[in-house]
Amino acid sequence: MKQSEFIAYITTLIGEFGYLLPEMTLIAGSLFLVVLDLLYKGTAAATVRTLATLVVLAATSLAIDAAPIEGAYLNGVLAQTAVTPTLKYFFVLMTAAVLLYPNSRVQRRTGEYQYLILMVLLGTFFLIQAQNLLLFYVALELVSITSYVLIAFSFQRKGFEAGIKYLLFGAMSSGLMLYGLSLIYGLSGSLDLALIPQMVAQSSDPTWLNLALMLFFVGIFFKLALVPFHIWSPDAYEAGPTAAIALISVLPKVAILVFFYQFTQLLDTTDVELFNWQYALSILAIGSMFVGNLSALRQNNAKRMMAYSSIAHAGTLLIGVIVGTAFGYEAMLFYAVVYGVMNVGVFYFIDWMEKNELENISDLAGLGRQFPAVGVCMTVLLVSLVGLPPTGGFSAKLLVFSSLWDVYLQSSDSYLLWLFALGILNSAISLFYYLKIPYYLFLKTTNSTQRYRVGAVSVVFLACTALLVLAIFFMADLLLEMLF
Amino acid sequence: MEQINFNILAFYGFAGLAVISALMILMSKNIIHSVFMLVLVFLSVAAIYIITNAEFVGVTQIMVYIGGILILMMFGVMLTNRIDGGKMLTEHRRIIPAVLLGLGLAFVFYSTLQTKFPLAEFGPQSELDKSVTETIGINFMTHQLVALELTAVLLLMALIGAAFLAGSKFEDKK
Amino acid sequence: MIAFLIYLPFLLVFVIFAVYAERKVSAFMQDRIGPMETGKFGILQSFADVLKMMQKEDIIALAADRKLFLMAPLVIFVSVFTGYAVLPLSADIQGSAAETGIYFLLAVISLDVIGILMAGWGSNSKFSLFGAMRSVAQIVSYEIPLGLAILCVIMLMQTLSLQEISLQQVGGLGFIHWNIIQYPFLIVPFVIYFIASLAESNRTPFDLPEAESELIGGFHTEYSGFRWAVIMLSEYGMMLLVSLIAVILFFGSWNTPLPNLGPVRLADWTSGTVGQLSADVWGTFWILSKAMLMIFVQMWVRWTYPRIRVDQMMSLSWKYLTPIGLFMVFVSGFWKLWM
Repeated sequence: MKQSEFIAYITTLIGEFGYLLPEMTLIAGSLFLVVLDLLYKGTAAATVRTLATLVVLAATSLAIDAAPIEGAYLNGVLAQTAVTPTLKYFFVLMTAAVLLYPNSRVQRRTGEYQYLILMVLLGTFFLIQAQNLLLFYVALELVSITSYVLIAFSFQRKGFEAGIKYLLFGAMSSGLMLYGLSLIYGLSGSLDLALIPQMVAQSSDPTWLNLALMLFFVGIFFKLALVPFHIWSPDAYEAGPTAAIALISVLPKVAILVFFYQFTQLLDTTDVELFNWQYALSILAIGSMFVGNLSALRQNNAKRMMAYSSIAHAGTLLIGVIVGTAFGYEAMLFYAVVYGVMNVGVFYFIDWMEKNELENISDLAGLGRQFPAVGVCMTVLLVSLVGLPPTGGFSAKLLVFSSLWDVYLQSSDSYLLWLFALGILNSAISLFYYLKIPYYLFLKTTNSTQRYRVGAVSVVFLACTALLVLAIFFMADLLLEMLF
Repeated sequence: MEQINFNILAFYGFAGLAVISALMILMSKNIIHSVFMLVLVFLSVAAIYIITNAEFVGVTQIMVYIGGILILMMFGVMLTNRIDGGKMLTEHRRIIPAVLLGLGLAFVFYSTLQTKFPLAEFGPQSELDKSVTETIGINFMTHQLVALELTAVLLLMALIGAAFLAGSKFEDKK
Repeated sequence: MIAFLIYLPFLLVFVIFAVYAERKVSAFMQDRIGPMETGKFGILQSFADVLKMMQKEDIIALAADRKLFLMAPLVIFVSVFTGYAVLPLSADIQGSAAETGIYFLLAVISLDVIGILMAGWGSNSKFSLFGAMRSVAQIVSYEIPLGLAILCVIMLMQTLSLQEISLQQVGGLGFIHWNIIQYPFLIVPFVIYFIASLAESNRTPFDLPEAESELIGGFHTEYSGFRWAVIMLSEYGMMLLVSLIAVILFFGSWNTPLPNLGPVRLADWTSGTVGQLSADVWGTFWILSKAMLMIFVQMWVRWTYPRIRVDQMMSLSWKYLTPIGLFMVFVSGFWKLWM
């Protein structure tokens, strides 16, 4: 690089820094929250902080609006695609929803909680835009380390144990992934996604690239909690604060899948004869769906059940990557959005259960008759999680599986057919455990005389999510239009 | 020729030291000895970096891993160990699956090592006539600037999170 | 190689005289006369001490962790002495011309802590362990302001190599070219550096790790004879090392302090001709004598201030020195950009 080129390089770098406006708003806002925590310690401190966080989120979404142009930025380290702003809005909305959870009083006592939640959001912002492996890794660690801390935020022995467990597994997988990434760097000579394929093409022998990809994928699978890298997730989900879990179970997974999709797209463009990663991913997807759903069948603890359910859903989401077409990508993102909404609703209910010291699904007996509105909303959400009409879950599964079917018709690889058939079979399996909750809510009766309270806010929150899920079914094209 | 031989010799020496110390970590029952063996592992890895002309990386390895992480580890072990009174010993459980997994991984690596590593063409050296350290610095401030800033945010988050967890008294509900 | 051959014997001789000087300085400051019996003015006192130490039994406590106990003094000494590898002595004499100079130095010095922990743990004694804990907590905490203070100089000099930093302070006007005069605000980083370096070498007022009145001897309580002497040697080695770094970074390294005044070419006369023996001799003389002056200040501080408490030690580092150090890094950056 010559001196003049270097100066031009730096000039573009400085000129494009405004592109990071949403991220910078988020960072400044999160620091403001930490300082606010030190300055204001009144009686309504928790409420004030939540409001302040919402204001920060609002400012961030305004900033997202300010940078709508697609393309690569900051010398190709970041890139904005058509979906990036929409996904950012989606993430911001999810974060805002999570902040409204009823039982997070313990966590809200301290300003660090909101700060950490915002850091997860920041990490996912960078994950979906990263075009550079180093940046991707740093962003991923930002999300992961924040998650480790958040899991331990329930201040119980169990929470710390789960946090440590998560940390140990996470550190191991990060190490493997980093090894894979460094091999990719050695093979391609570049960390920029755009430059990797052409560099890799220089050598015809794929052995080392296969190893590097394998190690890299293992790290990603761990973060997605796919079978057999899922062992940490039920424990972590059970022990962590529900609000944080609702966030961690959606945002990082979606963000990583977006990056993973872009990465696998690159693999298709190289001429090198790689191992059949679609095949391997299919096995993992099938395994995740089976293990997730079958294990969820036996769970009585609501949070553990949702943990296994999220493993199964991660398997379904992975189909979008396996398909690898633009339609598959759209279907995956659609599914992700719907899954996020459903998840927020269900975890809200679980949080409410926790607030009333209900842990198990069997404790819910008869509650549906006491609170019909809540019961109906929950039923809608759970039906959607199964993937039955008339809910958004159905449209999402329909899209994902039809994209898979399209690809099968083109390539007629038999493993895709297996994936298709077993995926649909799994939806049927999931019916049994999801509907356990409505079953207990409405059909079982209890002798317990204990009375619970459901606030108007909770009903409105659950009704909103339920309505949203229904709306997505009836106006699926609207969401697709928003996404792309 | 003499020079090259010496480098390769030193490389194998340090690599062997690293592997042997790593095995000693595994075999040693005394957790303190394991930690001190880890010092040796890190030192030999740093030495390998320096032999392969990655001086800055080698020094950073010493600075970060030995000067930072390991001392913290020792501190942790010493604080927990003597307070309990009893000796802290490591133990090996589920040896068979661990050995199988290890052998499997070794096989994967071994079979890969059968082929030569196709190192990429890294292009001509920068014309800016800078030393390695300066090149690293320039890369940090230009191409990887976003990653650098994000690392700063990450470290701040880790600091706040760790300070908070360490400072909080957890309440056992039961 | 020459630097090594100069530094190692010099260190050994230095320690003997430094111990004597320490006693004499403390005596004069407290209006006493100090050792007088051995030799004229007690000048052979340290030699007698060394002889005594050599003859003492090398006691290893039964409950001690033998391997760690035996290795610890060596690890401490090796890590401190490795730091000398990158120090320049004059324009021509330098250990390793490593590009990472001062960075390497800071890294290997941190190995010192490993040795202290080995000693404290291996002794299997409460006093030793407490001493080691305190020592490590102190060294780790003070490494941060120390690093920040050094970073200020590095930002201004734009190099990590100690020899290049020295060469940037060459000039006919003697002390005018020193960093601390060229960049006057460096006085703040220097004070931070000096305080932190006292803590790094476990000197009073930061001698908590070996506070006699509380911990007997701290991490070296259980050591005797030659091993104890090695620990002592590394402690004085550390003092010399941090003084040398201070001289190189702030006080013109091996350059003469005397300016050329018209026809009275003091600087040229006291610098010698580069490439010839005279330059080497003058360079070595200046750098070492400046370092001796720094060591005198360290001793002065030692016999002037009382020991601080543990909490004071921590808050001084984290609440005062580190923020000020960070601020000074900013100041250095702005100075470099706009001055």
